[in-house]
Amino acid sequence: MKRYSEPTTITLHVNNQNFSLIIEPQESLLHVLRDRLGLTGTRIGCENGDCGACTILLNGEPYKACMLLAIETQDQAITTIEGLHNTRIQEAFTKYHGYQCGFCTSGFIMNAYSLMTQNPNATDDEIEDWLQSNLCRCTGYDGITKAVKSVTDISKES
Amino acid sequence: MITQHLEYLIPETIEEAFLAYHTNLSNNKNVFYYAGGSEIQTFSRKHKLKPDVLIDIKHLPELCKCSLENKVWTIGSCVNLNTLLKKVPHPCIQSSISGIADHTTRNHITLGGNLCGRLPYREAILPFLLDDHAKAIIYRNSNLEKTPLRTLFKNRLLLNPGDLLVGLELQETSSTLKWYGIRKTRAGKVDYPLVHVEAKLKNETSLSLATSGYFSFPTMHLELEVKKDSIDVTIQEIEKQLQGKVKDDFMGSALYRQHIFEAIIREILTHWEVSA
Repeated sequence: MKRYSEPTTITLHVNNQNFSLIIEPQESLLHVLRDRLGLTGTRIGCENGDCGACTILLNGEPYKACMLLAIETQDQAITTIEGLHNTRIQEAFTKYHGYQCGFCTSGFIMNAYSLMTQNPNATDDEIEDWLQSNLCRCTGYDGITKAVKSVTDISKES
Repeated sequence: MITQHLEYLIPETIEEAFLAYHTNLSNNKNVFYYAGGSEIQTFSRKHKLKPDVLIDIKHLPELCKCSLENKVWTIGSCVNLNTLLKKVPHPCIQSSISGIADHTTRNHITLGGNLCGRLPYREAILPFLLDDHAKAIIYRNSNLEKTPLRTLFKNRLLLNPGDLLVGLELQETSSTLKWYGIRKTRAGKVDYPLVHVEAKLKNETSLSLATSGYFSFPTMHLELEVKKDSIDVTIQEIEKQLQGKVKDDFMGSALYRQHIFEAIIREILTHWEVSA
C-alpha cells in the first residue's frame, strides 16, 4: 500500500511535460497548477464544482480541477488551456465572440475541445448537455454555442 | 477544497483497503473511502466534513468492472456515471443517470459515491430498485457477500462503517419490459430533482415505480396493478400505497410536489395507453 502523509515528491504530466513537485496530499490540482506551475489559465471560480471555470482534461476527458487532488492525478495526462495552440475551437471562439469578460473562456474551451475531439459530429443536444457543465456570468452563451456549432458544422460537411 | 492536513492511502487490494479503514477507525481517525471525491471535496469546503484519512479505492480492479455476462451486468462501484452511460445500454440506466449533475461532473461521480453519499437523492439506485433480481456486492467482515438489493436498501444502503460496496448486479432488460422515466427540476436541467419517477411495465397491467426527490428519504419502490379503465383510480391506488411525508422545502412545497407527481404518473400511463 502506498501511503502519503508528509510533503511528498510527485511527478505530474502537464501539457506533454513532466514536472517534479513537492506537495501535501490535501492540495487540489487547481492550486498546484496555478501556484506551483504558473498555469493561471485554469481559473479559480466557485471551488465547488459548479462553475466549470477550472476545467482541465485528464486523459482527454474534462474534469474540474477544484475537485481533484493533485496526488490522484499522478501518471495521467493533464492538459490545460496553455496546452492548446491555435486549435479550431479557439479560432471559432474568436470568430464568433464566444467570450465577454473572458473569465469562463478557458473552461468552456477545454470542455468544447474535449467534445470536438471525441465527437466531432456532436448533435445540438449533445453540445447542450456538455456546455451545461460551465457557467458564463456575462450570459454570453449565444456566442459560445455558435462557436462550438461552427466547428461541428465543418466536421459534418467534410 | 480540503484545508486540513490528511493522510492519503492507495491500497492494492480490497482486503488492504478494508483493513486500513478499520485500523484508522479504531485510532479515532475520520476515515473515508475515496473515489470520485466530489462530495468529500465540496463538504470539506463547507467544513461539514473533516477527513483525516482518505483511502483511494478507484484503482481496485473489482471496483472498476463494467461487464455483461450471462445476461447480468456487473457494475463496479468506482465506475463513473459517464462510463456507465456509455457502456450500459439499459433504458432505465440511461434515463436515471443522464440527469444527474452536469456532464463534466459525471466524470467525477461514481456509482458507489452516488449511492453511499450524504445527498438524499441517490438517483442511480432507481434502475436497480426496479430490477427484481438486482444484487449488491459488499465486502464486510473480511468476506465478499452478494445480497439482494431490496433487502439492503431501506431509504439508503444499510452498510456498517467500513463495509465496502464493491459493485451491483443488474439483469439485462428483456424486450417484454417497457420502461419510462420522467425527471422534473425546479428550473434548469442541471439541478436536484423536484420529482424523479422511473417506471417499469412488466405486462399489460403490472406497474413498478421508483422515485427520487418526492420524499425526504431517498427513494422507494412499489408494485401495483394498473386499472385499465381509469387513470384516476390508478393514481389513487399509487397514493394509497406510498407511505411517507412528501418532501417540503425551498425547491418545492409538498403540495406542488404532489401535483407534479400526479402529472408524471398521468403522463406515464397515457404514454403506455393503459387507460380506456
